[in-house]
Amino acid sequence: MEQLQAVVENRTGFCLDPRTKLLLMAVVATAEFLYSHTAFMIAVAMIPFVLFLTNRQYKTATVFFCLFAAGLFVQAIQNSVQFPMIVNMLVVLLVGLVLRLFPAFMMGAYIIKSTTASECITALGRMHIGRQITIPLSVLFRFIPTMQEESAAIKDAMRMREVQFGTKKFWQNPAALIEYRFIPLMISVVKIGDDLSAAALTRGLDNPVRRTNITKVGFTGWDLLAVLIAGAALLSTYFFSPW
Amino acid sequence: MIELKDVSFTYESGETENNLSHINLTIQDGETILFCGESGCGKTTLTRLINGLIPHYYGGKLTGQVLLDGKELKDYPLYQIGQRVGSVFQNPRTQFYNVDTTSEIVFGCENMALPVPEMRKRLEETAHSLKLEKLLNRSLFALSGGEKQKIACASADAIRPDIFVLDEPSSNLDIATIEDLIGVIRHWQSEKKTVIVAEHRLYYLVPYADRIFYMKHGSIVREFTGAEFQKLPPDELQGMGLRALDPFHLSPEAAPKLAAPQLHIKGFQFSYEKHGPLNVDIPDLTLPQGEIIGIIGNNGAGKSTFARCLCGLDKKAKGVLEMDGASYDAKQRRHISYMVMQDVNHQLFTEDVLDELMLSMDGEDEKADTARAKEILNSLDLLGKAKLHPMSLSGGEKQRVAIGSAIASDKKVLIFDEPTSGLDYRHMLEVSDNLNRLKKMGKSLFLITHDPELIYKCCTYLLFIQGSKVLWHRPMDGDAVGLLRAFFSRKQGAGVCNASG
Repeated sequence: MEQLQAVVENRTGFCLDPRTKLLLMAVVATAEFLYSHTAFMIAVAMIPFVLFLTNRQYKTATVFFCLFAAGLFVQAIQNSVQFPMIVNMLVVLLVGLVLRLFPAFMMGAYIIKSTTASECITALGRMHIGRQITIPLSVLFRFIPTMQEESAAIKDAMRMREVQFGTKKFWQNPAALIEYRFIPLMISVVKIGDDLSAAALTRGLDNPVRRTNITKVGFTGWDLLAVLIAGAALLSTYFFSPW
Repeated sequence: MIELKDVSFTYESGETENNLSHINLTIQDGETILFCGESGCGKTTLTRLINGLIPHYYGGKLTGQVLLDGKELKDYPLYQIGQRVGSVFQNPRTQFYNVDTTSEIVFGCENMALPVPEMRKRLEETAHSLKLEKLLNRSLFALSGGEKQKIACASADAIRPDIFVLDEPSSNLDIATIEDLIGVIRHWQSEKKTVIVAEHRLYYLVPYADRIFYMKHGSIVREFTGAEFQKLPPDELQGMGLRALDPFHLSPEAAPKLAAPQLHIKGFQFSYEKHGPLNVDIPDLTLPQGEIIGIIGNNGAGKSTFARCLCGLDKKAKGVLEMDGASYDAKQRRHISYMVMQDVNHQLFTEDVLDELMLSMDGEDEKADTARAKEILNSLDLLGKAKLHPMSLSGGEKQRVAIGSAIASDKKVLIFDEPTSGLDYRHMLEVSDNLNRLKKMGKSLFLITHDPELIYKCCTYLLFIQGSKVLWHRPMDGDAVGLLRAFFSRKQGAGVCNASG
């Protein structure tokens, strides 16, 4: 049973309480709109980036890093290069999207990947949030990967029918493409949600007692450390910018 | 002890199938009970009465009494019933609340607020007794259907209920993982638990069942002991709409004609990862055209990947398919081939059946297209349903609409992925008829399946894939049947090995 002990306890490494993650999410989402200078924006973006690394999401981290760096680069040269108006509009829009909104999206990606549904229900329960909110929220967690699977299957089905972007059928009725993608998806999501709730209820999801959790949910030194480092980075770059 | 006293139930959705009328039944502690019958006979509804989902989750009109140890179940909330009755459902993909296996197994315990040390003890015991130490702490999305179903059993087991209710647990499993499921059920039997199963596939369960109930139109019409049931002759089982008790030793019903035109597969290579091992590696393969070719092999051997390559879903797949003097690469294969997916709901897009077919046509001449679509619908017995929404049809009809759309776009190669998983005898026959109809139209069919009855029913050629390669392929003759039987018995053996050590 040694193997099993290891399995249950290997979460003692870097691991944040779901509440800390939510706090950092709120901080990032607010900070990215406090428009300031480059150093501050980098500090904001560093929070999800470092968290990705701790959670071994190297691929997402790399993509995010490249996009963000490209965004900064374009922003830096924007004033010296004259783009045609339409291109300029697009560039400003895209750069704004990457620099302002991506850090929060990335926090979301980190939270979803690093938190189990069960931890999430327990942590939200500790925040005295009612089950009416925690249960749908945790189902949402569970649903994202399932939606991806379903969506990929539907995409394959559409390709086999040659219902896709750029064909003659497509130009006759472009909106139909969205309909064809979403209607089967919605039908299967409703069905899956129904099965899922039934299965969860037979295992006592609606039990009103305060639930326990096999992985310890609670604040540790890591939470303090994460909040302190993030806070220090943000405050120092906000008030004392090197540039 | 479970007692059902004159229980009738009608779903509030107003459907006419699956309802129950006047069920009287007593199940003693420690019994293993099997409910069988055609789809819609109400066996799933019966399991829902026992695990409390009716009336607590699925609404409808319920009369009579469902008693557990003398107490009426409807007076207790679901979470209390859940501590006495553990449930395993049909679809391994849709019964998980968590994304990782360990949390999923202890999910019920967490909801009961068991102290953590007790929960760990149970996790260890369950993992040990159901032989799934290797599956702990994995992402559920990375597991096979069989492994997921084992986790579902473990999750029910960790609550330590006295009664287990399984609703068509083998529907999405292959032969080897069904053996694992038997291992789990045998374990529960050894602990004197009550096991109640509603199932289409009978062969694996009948030897271990104490009593078997045959249901029809919502009533229990016959009751057997396991021994009595095993004496039923095959044609009587078929007459009752039930699957064979020994599906592995039937004889092939369709003779291969092996007409002259052939399909040549040349240099098929595909790998999911760059520079990774090849998931499909078929340098040169000649197959007959216009036959029903059964693709068999173990899980993960590369059957589905081969099918995806064949219909051009993976653009990066190398190799060509030569047919009727033309050569098709991956992208071109999409014009001539089509896969009917296991979940056919994914491939029906429009608002009525006729539109579904029209979508597959080029739309140049609407009148001619409509006439042709109607002709196709007629040939598939769907003309009467032309104006209905595809989603309102039965499973077999939906499959025919998907087939119709493939015919409409003039596809020549059709691939079926597990078309009979979870189907009863009658619906399996319907699928087999559909396949034969396509064969008559001259289409080349590939059939990925774990269903021996379907293979014997309609395959005229077999293709065995192992380790991404084609190990053998031959017409469905005496030798092929020998190889097929050897494969099935090896798979059954493999499952037992897994289950016992």
